[in-house]
Amino acid sequence: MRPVLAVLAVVLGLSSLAYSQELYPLSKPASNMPSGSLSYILNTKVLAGEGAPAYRFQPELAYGVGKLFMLHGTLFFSDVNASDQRFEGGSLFGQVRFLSQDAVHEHFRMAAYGRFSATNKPLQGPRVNLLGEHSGLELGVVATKLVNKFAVAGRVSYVQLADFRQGLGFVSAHAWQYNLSLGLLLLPKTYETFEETNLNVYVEFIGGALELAYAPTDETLRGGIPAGSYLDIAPSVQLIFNSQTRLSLAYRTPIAGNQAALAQHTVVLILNHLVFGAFR
Amino acid sequence: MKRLFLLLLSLGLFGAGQAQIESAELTASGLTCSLCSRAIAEELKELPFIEKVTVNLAASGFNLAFKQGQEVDLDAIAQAVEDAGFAVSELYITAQVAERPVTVRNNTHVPFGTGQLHFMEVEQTSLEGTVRLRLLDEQFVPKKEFKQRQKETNYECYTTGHMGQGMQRHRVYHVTLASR
Repeated sequence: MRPVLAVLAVVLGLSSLAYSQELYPLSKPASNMPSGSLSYILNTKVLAGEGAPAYRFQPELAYGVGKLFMLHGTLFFSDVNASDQRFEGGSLFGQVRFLSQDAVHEHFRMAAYGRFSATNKPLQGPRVNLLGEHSGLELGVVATKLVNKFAVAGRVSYVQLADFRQGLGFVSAHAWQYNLSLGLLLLPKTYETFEETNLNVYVEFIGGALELAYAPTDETLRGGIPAGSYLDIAPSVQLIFNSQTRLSLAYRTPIAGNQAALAQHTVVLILNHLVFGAFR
Repeated sequence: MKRLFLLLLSLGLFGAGQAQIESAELTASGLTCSLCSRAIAEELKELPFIEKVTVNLAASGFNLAFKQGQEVDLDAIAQAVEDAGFAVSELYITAQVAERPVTVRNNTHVPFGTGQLHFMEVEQTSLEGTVRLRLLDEQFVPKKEFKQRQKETNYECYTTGHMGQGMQRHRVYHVTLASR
């Protein structure tokens, strides 16, 4: 729990400093999508370490159900520990914005969210991952402070793990996840038109902790995650075209903790296209 | 019957209140990026009475031109900005308040379309033709400003935004005179 508190302290410290951008490639801010808008998201991850790289392909559809509520649905495909790309599961994510303090070029917002992931993989690996590896339910809160061209967001969540592959359902294993995301709008210096391409740079710190190691009670079953914690750093660049389409490139690598990543180097490429008022 | 007629007349239900809103300028809060501004512009363009939206990206400003002869719904404008995920921090309208000169005093109501205007923070003055007004209701000002004004005023209509009961219930927009 100590890293969680440290991140919270940094977030609160930074938010009091007060300095765009919150369209983080690897995490979501407290702001939701515009009501009635639809997003098509194509997310490709390249996991490079020892041996040949593995690929994750995760298409996602997101909808702004109301001004305060959005839903995301994601499908997981990968060739991690497999010879070819195969369908491995999916995830449903919902977020409710419950606090908004808006001023011109400024806001402080908070939201609560939940994610339910189900995969056809057993609960095993070096660390918990609800975005492609493991099944479970995540409940969390996120806070975002935006001031002019700078945005900082902090998130803490609780994860209840499950193993649907082996018919165990929810198991007696839970984890904490947290992150701190910082973003800055570099270009344009001064906005004039919607058509100008935006350049944002980000750095995200993504961490997690599993206090008690998980092992299935039945020795005939597969599974197991060691106790411990991890902290990754993920710098990224993002281009926004026509105030509508985002192309983000991120690199993620562990910097602290005793829980290894599946791969030492992960490169993530994300294309996100927003359709305003999709069903009118 | 005559009384009722006069009452209805004073409420503007017989079209006694001129309400030709010619244009509006709004400032939105809670955003910096052009994607956010575009979300607001797209919502505003969908309103049936809006002719054109001109955006000042750097200032989060939106100038609205309205279609001739269409009734402008100011509440729908605020709702559109909120649906995009943001809030209105300032809304100015340029409108025909009266064909004949009308005397305006602080905290008095003037018929306006199917509703009324409640003037706040004004000296007694005579208005005629086109005037520029700033809207002061909850959805058109920052939350803090609304709470402050709510504390300072004794008029319940500022909180509710409405007057009257049943069929005679009507919208009261709270405004102050703005310089051009």
